[in-house]
Amino acid sequence: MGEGDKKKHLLLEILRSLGEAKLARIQEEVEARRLSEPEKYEALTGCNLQDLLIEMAEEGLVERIFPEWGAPVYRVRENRT
Amino acid sequence: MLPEKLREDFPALKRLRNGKPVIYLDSACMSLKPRQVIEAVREYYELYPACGGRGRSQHWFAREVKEATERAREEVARFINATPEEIVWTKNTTEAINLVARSFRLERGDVVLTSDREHNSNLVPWLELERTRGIRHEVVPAREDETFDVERLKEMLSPKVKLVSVVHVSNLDGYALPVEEIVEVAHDYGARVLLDAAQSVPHRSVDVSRLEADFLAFSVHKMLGPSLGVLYGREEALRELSPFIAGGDTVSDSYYERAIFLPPPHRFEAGLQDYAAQIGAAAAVRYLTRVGMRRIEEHERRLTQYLSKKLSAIEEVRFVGVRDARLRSGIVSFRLERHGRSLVAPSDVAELLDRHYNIMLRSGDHCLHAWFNARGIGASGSVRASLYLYNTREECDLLVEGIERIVEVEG
Repeated sequence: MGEGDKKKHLLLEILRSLGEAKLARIQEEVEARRLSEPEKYEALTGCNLQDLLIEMAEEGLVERIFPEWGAPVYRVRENRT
Repeated sequence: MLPEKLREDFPALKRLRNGKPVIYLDSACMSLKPRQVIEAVREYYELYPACGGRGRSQHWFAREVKEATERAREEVARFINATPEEIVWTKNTTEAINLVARSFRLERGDVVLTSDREHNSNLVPWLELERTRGIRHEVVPAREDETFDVERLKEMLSPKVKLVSVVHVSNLDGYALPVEEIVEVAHDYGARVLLDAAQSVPHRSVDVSRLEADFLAFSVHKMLGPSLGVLYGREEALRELSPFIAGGDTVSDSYYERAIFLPPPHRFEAGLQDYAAQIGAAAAVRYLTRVGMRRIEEHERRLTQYLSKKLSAIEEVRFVGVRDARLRSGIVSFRLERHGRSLVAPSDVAELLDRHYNIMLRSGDHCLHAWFNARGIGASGSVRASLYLYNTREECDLLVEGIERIVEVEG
């Protein structure tokens, strides 16, 4: 698995565990996991999570839902064919 | 405060989106350009777009380029009270620091000291030398209030320390390190001093003869000019450096077996240069000099205090960097938190401000990953507003209004 795919795989795992979340919550979870399991989550170090999530949304891996005014919400798109 | 009339010199400020004006608060990354600089660059491309340098073409255009670029070197030198021979053109501050890192005599076991708040450009080169040449890079930890600890520096200095390389003004929070004291104690141990002045030279009067640092690096594109870097080196210190990138214009003569390098600064400027940028740099320093560096510094200091005070009235704003607001100048970094947890991600704050208010600022780690990682907030970083001579109180008010709205909606 390439570095980019690994990051996406880890982020999907985190997002799946959170259900639906805004970026602040995702960042907090990434930080906590990097501290508790540094080896596993090292790939997410220094990673621009917003850019990565936008890329994943463009690839159809996650949904990026915009409220009328406010920060977007992210959730895993599970029903891909 | 500086007169708002000077804003008319900046064409980018005249743009509108959705009927709203531009609010540019990202000058720590790249400053806007006044028409005087744009005009100088345009003139080069329109009237004499030829090569300059030594020993190249001798025709009419080339002579004009040579004269204009030599004048530019003189004007930039005068701006920091240096001599033209002490000014080396580089691509940017990062390249200037790398020039010193690669060319300064450092051997296995030699120590380079930095602060704990260095931009990657003044951290990664030393980590690379640690890996490839066996030097030791040591970090001087800050005090609890995030200010530089000179006493700790004194404890860490030894004859093994060959270079102390620190940021002058931090791109995190605008905090100015006590560089005069740092230079003095480093010199007491025979160490050379390199200052990353990317955030100081554009915003305050810097006099290298008073600072007495051996090297000083800064970027013209952060001070109203085109993309260009400058390495200042005291004549004696520059002579100690070996050539960085070798090639045309760095030598006076060459044979199949050897080459004779020119003295500094030319030995460090290989190949054709960005002559338009050098000419634009002169226009930029003329503009800044005309406005007055002390007035610019005072304008930014007042705006920073004004913005800090207004933001501190919002309960969810947590400032990042030095605790004492009076020590911040030109840069305000913060996070939105509630009960110790991030309320809105800094990059979401930046996106919302851009989308709804045309406010352009920066979010993330600001190339200070090590600093943020050491504090457990590496995944999110901070929101950073950086001010310059064209910013106003009204723009600060709109930023505060935007932050209040975000807190209201997201809270």
